[in-house]
Amino acid sequence: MNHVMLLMTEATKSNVLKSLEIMWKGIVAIFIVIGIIAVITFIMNDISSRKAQGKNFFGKPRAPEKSEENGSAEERTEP
Amino acid sequence: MDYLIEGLNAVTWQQVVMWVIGALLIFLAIKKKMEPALLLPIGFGAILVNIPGSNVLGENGIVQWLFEVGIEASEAMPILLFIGIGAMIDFGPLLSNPKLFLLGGAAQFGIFVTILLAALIGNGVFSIEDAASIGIIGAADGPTSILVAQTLNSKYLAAIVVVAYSYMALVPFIQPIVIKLITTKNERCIRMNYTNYTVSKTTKILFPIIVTLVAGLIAPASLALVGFLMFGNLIRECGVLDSLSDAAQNMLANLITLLLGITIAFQMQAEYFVTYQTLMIMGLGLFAFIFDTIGGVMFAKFLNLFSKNKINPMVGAAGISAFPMASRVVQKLGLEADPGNHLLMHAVGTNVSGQIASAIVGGLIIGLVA
Repeated sequence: MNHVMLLMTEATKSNVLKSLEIMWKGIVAIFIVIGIIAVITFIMNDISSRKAQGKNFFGKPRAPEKSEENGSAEERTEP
Repeated sequence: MDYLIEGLNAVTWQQVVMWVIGALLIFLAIKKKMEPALLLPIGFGAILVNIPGSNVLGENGIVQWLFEVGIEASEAMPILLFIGIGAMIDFGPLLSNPKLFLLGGAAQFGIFVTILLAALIGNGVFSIEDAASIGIIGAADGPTSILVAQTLNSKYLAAIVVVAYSYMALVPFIQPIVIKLITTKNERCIRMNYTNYTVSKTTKILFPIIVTLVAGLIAPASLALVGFLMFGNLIRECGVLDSLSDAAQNMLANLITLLLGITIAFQMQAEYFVTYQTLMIMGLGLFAFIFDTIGGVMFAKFLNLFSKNKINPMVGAAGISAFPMASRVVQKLGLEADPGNHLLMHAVGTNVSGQIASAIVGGLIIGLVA
């Protein structure tokens, strides 16, 4: 590697070093961005599938919704 | 009578070469159906700008004006095209299997290796800005290539764009050879179960907003591309802007595509294009596509070391942005290895992940180099 570097002009050497820097920083950054997006997507999918199964965020069955005034629709009796 | 042959006398051999290149691009577009929407206008534009005394160039020339306003001033054309592309993409297959995101990221590997190679063999010919612009050919994404090369002020913009679009059209020929060289028959036969998981509408609406936020906060230079891509997708998924979504997918995308090719041709003037650097860019572009494919496939193999549900390594190759060619290649090779092995949905998921990843990498490179 050192022999290869010795054969290069100063401009090439500087370009190669810069490209190596772009490579490691770029690869790390793309995996961080993509990784975060993948994790958030996984969480969103998980929440929506729990919601579809009638469970809350912690996986427990959701309490039946109550009507503000007269209780739930099932409990109400028509006059 | 001299005035009649004035133009003829002014023709240089380099301009004749450009006419031949223009004719070749038109031939490939019509006869071989290689990216006709782009290669045909570029080919015709190459002829148009290489006629001596052509008034499409110069201060009041229409092609020059289109270039200055549509690309040079704000990169408006490639960015606006991303709204149309975003409106066309269904991220459903990717959202139903988020693991595929990683393959899209891995398939950008060729970009970085090519930047290194361009810096190495360019031996002072290619500046780091040129090398980065050449590397982005590996994004397999025309608008991203235009944006990066233009933002980094590379003088090889036209060559980079022509090479990027040409290799995108050649994906069905390039990828199978590479994939077969680096996978075994047994690996190509790996079946992947596809669970028809329905992604909720809320997830589909939140996804473009979240991607914009995450990409913007970590790689702000990618916002122009990622933001407009996601804006187009939000219009598609919101469910209340059907006519706008339709306009973005069809009218906007067609109009921009129509003008983009002929505008790019501004850079195809003989003195800039007929150089040995163009040949080097063609070689480096091919290298980028090959190493993108290798990166995706190898990363899928790497994930298989830890995963119970094995990924068919070929799916990694679909992580390049060329949509839908890369997905079709994987599906075809899967069926070739095992007639019951349907990989299309996984490949499509990886392919759209590659589209997001390539836009992000484009922004990252601008941020790291500029």
